[in-house]
Amino acid sequence: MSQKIILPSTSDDGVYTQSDGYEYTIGPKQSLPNEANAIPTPSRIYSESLIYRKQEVSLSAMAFLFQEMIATIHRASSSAQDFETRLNGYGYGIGTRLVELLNLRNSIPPNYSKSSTFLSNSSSTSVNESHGSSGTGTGTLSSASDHSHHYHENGTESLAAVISNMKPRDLKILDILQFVHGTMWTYLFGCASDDLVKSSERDNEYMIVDNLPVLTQFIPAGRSCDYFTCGIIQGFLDSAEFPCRVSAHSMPQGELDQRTVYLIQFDKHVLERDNLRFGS
Amino acid sequence: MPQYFAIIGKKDNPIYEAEFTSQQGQQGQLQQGFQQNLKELNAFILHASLDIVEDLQWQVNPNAQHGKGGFLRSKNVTNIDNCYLGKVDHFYGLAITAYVTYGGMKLVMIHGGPPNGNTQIDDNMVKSFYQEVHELYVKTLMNPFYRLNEPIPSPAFDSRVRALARKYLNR
Amino acid sequence: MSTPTQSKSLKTIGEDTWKNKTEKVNAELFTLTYGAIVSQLCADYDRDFQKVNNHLFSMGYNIGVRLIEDFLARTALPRCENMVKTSEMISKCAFKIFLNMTPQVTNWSTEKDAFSLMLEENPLSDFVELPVDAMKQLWYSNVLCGVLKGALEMVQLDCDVWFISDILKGDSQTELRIKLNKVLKDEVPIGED
Repeated sequence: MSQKIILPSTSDDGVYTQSDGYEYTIGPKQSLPNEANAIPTPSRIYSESLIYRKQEVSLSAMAFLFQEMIATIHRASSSAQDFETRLNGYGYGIGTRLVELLNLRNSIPPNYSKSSTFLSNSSSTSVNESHGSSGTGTGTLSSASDHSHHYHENGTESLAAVISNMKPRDLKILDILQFVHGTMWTYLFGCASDDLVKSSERDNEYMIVDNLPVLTQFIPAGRSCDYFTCGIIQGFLDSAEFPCRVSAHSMPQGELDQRTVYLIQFDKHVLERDNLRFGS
Repeated sequence: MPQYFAIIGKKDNPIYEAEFTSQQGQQGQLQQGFQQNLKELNAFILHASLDIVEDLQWQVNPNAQHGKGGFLRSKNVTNIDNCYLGKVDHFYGLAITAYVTYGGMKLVMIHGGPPNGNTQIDDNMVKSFYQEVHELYVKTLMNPFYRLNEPIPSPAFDSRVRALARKYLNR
Repeated sequence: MSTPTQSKSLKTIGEDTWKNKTEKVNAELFTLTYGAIVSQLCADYDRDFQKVNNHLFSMGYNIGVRLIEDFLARTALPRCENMVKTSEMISKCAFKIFLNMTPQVTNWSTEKDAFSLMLEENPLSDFVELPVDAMKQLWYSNVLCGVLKGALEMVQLDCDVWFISDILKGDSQTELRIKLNKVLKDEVPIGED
């Protein structure tokens, strides 16, 4: 009974052998003698590929959702600072996910997506196919996704299996900032940020500049709502073990009246490590 | 050969652990697990090696070229894989390998060997195992209900990790 | 009843608006943001999932009452004369323009006042697996019900909108139900014979 609850992807729980996951109060479990014959516990998230499908939604849908999120947080907040802290927290979790997701995707050989497109065209079993076509028609979709599910349960969903070398982890402050300013910004907002600058006054301070923040362009006055993006940056850098604080500042320039500067202040030890390891 | 595998979180807390034993043959069953008295040591051996991992994780591969580009225009052309750290430590014939994810999760494994022999590591196989577990971890992390550093209790995750162990480690 | 030509033109309008008149963002940013909202609500309401459902619904309602203006302005569509036309417009235009998806309209009631939308894919729920304690009660994508409720109300259609099933709960499909209660009075009744 409880097994059925754990397995959202199946309506038929009779065929699967009972198995429990890791329980940290008990410790590691040993392999079971018959586990090789067991069907892997079905799961929606583990069966779907992490490949980037380049799906889009409208900016208005995103903006409406963002504004309602802001309203929800605003109602719960006792002060402006409390609001910024809470909003930062929403973004933070996203940043911690992106550091893994985007680097993993960047490890995929460039010719991989091409070959998978080819595969899906010829066999129509790939997840790309079923999702890609659903925007325009719905008639044959359910059978296509059944197919792709089966296909994935056989292990073909793995991206790691086609990666010979993982993209190197970024070890230097400048490298990780480049990733945030370039890859992450492009993923989130469609283009690299407008500038990445090192503070001339303090060694541990860097700035990412956005002339027109996508999410807050319709929200007048103040940069409070940009603490969502601050949280994403901070979650990303903290998680990659470049702990820092990130704040948003309004710095209009000419006609760019919404120009926003994200100030990144690294913990001292990050700088010390950088100096020690890379002698910059 | 048995293995003890763990994913260690940001506070040196295990978020997943498993022991893998070979499936082949009934007769060798006893030898294929870790000896009971050593078994309890695994967690300690593994934690002892974390310091080494933390040091190695910040080392630039000595073969790598220090591409010094213009300021803020990194020309990092080093294509050296620094997620998989290879064998990082050993302990009485046991070998310890490690892998660090982009978000600083440490995947660590103790490889048991033949009695009184040296444990051989097939780096390609071990690396493939780690990479695929890394991907499973990312899928876990992407779920909005999963919080960083929490133990992973999912049976679906467990069964997939064990399948990978059979595929790459205990063939 | 909608004729093939009508629905085709709605389809064309939807696709054309999406293609040419819609600024777009990465769907995964949308997915991740919604995920952050739902998981935070579950924590804030101490895992009282009924309250989370209600909160998501009311967020959606607030979105819907504002979104309808945006929708009508961009598509310049006339008022629908019946629920069949309304269903087509929701599926082929509204979902297409905002979320780039076209849920199938099905399961009509005999009175033609209620129908279902089948969400074959749902950008809100990518990457998601519900925790065990949420499986029974949480309607993860409930914001959509609120959006439809709010938007339809603004065009004088008082409807009930709710999820019947969700693949996140282990169902084989995700089905959203819309039922017309009454056409609100302060406007000219629409297309009733």
